[in-house]
Amino acid sequence: MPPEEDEGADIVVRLDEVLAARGITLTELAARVGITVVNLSVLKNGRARAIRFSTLAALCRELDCRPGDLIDYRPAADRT
Amino acid sequence: MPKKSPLRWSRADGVVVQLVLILALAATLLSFVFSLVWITPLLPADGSGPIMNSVTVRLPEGTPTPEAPVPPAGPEYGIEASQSMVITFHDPTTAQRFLLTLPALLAQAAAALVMFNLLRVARSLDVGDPFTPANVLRLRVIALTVLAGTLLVPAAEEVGEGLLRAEVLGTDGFEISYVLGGVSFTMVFVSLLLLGLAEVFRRGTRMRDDMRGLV
Repeated sequence: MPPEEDEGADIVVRLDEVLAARGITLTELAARVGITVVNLSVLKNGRARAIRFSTLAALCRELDCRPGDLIDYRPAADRT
Repeated sequence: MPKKSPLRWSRADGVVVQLVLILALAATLLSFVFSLVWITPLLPADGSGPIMNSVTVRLPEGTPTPEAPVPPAGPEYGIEASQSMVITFHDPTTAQRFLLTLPALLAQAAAALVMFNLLRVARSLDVGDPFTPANVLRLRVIALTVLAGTLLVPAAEEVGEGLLRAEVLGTDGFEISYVLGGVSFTMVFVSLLLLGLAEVFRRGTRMRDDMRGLV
């Protein structure tokens, strides 16, 4: 099914939860990963439309976690 | 560090281009207004201004070919007298003024529309965001305006001259073959290239949208 037809389905970003669990600030993580605080904030607030694999790998490296700890898929039915 | 190309677009280039376009657009709009006013009897039509009160038309069918002032042919050349004549209107009516200025009006309107849209595209370069839906539309407008001007201006010339000739000489109006013969196929090709460029911008806009929000 094309993305635009899957109305209501969403990718959930749990970066804020992992940051809190690791006790790292957004600014510190941005410096370690090598992307701007603005872009990391876009990701944290769920406004990102795509993420590079290199960025995802760097986040997992610095936060010592797996991609599934950072992003999750929530089907449309679960949002009601 | 890689060297900067001397052809790289700089801010100064953008300023110069915009300035030239603004001046040219202002001049074109002034000419357009002058042409509009010239249609009315407010301005003299004695040929002293920028708008000609005469047209060059073909000789009527059956008119004897004028004699050339020199022998018509030699071992190395051939000479033919002109098959056209000039009709000058010393005191044209409003309708005649309209037919005399119509090609210029169409050309000036098309040029102004093209320059206005080019100016908007140049300004988007300053902002650093040329791949937008608005620029796609502007390029399409430019392309279609060039195409329309290429087709309509020669047609207006031929139709106007034909009607004026018919009015003065009592001959037939105009022929479709002559109307189409004035079209520049080079400019038709240019307008097709511009449509292609608009399509490039459309795809670039779509790619840019895909990249927006990428971290």
